[in-house]
Amino acid sequence: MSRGPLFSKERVVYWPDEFSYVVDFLTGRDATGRVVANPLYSLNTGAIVLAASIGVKYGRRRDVGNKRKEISTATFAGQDLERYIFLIPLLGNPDLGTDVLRVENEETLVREFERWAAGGLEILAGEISESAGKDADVIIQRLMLQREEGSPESEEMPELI
Amino acid sequence: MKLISLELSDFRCFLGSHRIEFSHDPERRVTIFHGENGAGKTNLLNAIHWCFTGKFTPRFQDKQILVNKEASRQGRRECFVEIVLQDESERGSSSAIYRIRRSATNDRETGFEVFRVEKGNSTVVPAGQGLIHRFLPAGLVSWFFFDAEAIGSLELSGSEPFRQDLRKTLGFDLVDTLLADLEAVYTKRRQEVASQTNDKDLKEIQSRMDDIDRALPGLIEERDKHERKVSELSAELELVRAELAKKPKAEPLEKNRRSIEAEMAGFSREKLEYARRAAETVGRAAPATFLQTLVARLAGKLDEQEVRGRLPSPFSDQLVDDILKDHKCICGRDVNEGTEEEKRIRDLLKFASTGELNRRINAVRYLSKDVERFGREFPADIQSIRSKMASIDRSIGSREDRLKEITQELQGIDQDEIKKLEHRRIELEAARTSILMSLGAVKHQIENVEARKADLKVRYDLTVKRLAVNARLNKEMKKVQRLIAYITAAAKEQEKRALNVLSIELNSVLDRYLTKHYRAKIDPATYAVQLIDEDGKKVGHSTGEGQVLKFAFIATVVAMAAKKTQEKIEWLSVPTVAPLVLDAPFSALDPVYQGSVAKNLANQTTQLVLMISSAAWGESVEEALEPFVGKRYLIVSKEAGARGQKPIKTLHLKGRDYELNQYGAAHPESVFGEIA
Repeated sequence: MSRGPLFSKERVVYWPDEFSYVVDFLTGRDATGRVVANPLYSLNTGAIVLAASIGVKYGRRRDVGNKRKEISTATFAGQDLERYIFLIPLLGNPDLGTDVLRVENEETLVREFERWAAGGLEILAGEISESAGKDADVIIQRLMLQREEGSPESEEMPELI
Repeated sequence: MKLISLELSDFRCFLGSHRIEFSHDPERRVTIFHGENGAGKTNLLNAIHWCFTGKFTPRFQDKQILVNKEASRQGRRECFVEIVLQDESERGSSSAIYRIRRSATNDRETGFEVFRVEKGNSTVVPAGQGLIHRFLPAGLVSWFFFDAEAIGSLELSGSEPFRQDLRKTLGFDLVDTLLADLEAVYTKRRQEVASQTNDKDLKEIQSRMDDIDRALPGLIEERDKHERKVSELSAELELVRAELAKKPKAEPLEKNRRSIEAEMAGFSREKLEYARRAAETVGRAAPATFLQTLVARLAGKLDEQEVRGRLPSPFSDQLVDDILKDHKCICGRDVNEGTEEEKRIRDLLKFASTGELNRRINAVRYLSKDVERFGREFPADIQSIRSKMASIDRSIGSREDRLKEITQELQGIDQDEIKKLEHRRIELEAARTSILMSLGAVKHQIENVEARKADLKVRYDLTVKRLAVNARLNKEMKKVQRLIAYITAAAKEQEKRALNVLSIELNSVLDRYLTKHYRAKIDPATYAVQLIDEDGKKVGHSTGEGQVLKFAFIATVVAMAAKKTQEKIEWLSVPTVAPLVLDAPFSALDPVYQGSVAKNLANQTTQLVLMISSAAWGESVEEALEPFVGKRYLIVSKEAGARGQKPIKTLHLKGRDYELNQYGAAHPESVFGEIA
């Protein structure tokens, strides 16, 4: 399949600045940008995709707010993560259907993805504060195990078309 | 700088006055002192070391007894050491001669003077120690004058003092000083700009940078102090362990401990690698694992829609466009503009399949498959990594237990000396661990502060851009910035070249002399030097080959500074060129490497002074050094009392035997005898 960008033009994904430390934690950096631990992701894009996955998994979404940071969709494309921006809103919102993937809905799609990512970051912030001193991979793996033990997502998928 | 002569008066085992001359002929640049253990070779090394620095080598014992005992009995209370040297670095003249003299009683140092000698007249040089530091910086003395039996304690692990010493030897410290001065000029200009523009933000940024500038030197000083302490403790620890290894009862245990420590170091490296893999694996699989169930349902729905012929949509945007363009439906009915039919058909576009939509749906489906695969593979992948990590932890744990047992066994040996050494080893280990922790904290602080400063600098530059800054100040700031950038780039380029040459030369020495195919690798960030075997694994510095590496490293650095290597460098500033003075250079080496190391040392140095016992003087060493020897002395040890059954030790040289010890002397002393 083609590996070219899926977006018709470069768009911006915003995420809440208040969770910068969460993203730093997942990318193994401290507040000064110095590598201090083994990173789960080399770039912030990986951390945002993880957050959006957790957000949609736990049904937690929220607005990004005014204090925000941004990443271009081209950066996601460069990391082969752009597809998640299309997939996650589709998984998260029963009313959207595959029509949300149409070119004219790109902005809606990105905003949806951002909300799930912001919600996921909020969950991750809670997990990190409860597990101070633990490595990022250990915290995330524990969350993954919780997922296997019990799932809060709805049983039925909506009609897509 | 070259050593011309040395005069000793009542210094340690040398009673009365003794004068020796060093060979400083560029071709015959080696001076050798042959002497048995206890004859005074280490005293001779320390006479030179002390005269230059006022300090002694770490293993020098009874430092408080400097005046010869017989001299003291005869009423003389003071000893002195005088060195005449030639400084060849002075510009405008071929060379200058200096005389350094240091004297002391057993209680205190009584004098230190440096004279410049011209046409036989000596003139006192004010602040002579500063001049000596120019010839040989204080931190570098241990690189040029050293007890080679303690070569094991030479750290090549890339500590900050090691890096600084190497930079000094190669002359980079002057460039560093110049950059620090330029940075100070730049800071001053920045402060002027902040005050001239009177901008609140700029003043705030400048004030925070000033705070950092005030705090940083203290932190750096603390870091360097800790680093030096760690080096000292490591050196002493290495000596204590070497002593332990010499005791027959402790030797197997100490050897076992070293081997276990090497294994543990290997396990620790392996664990770090697995920890990195665990993080990477969790990172790659985590989104997939969280999405797995939702994605499976989505895939099911998509498949169902596909079966029902709804995905993709049964009509394309192209079909709708064609109908609208032809004004005719596929059923044959007219579709005229503005009619209800036209509107209904146009509305179909909202649901038509498009190339772009299909590409995205496919992308989502492919991703769904990847998610399922990652999610499926993850449990086994992570389980395998975590099991490996647990197994490494167990291996480390069992070795830690064994190390504890070894400590207990050593403490249980019924020999006070071993108990004391082991006790000291534990103390030193604990002290080193504690300092290493403080060092880590200080380094962390420095990195944070430096990162904050870099951030503030960016903010400062951005703020200045929007302000009206005085043209003169702006011009000056830009000039200093350009100068800093230019010198930094030139210094970096030369540093890169120097490390490259060092690596080439070092490996060329190892290629020639080591029987194994080992390579030396230099870390450009820390200057740490590591020996690597054929499989790319690290080789311990305490192995026979590791010792050769240390000799080769020192000789190569000294040779590079003196431009005596094959690959040459045009230095930005003058490196340190000084003689290499080694006590017992070959006793720590495997005999198989002694000849080659001797040859390398003689080849690479501008002047070489060696103190050698007859035990370390073999055919290979003689053959390697002979073409370079310009002066040769015996240090003969004279003992009071009759010989009785005691042995006479001899040195066999060029078909003759020379006695190295005598009996029946009026009092014990050591004397020099030159061999022509």
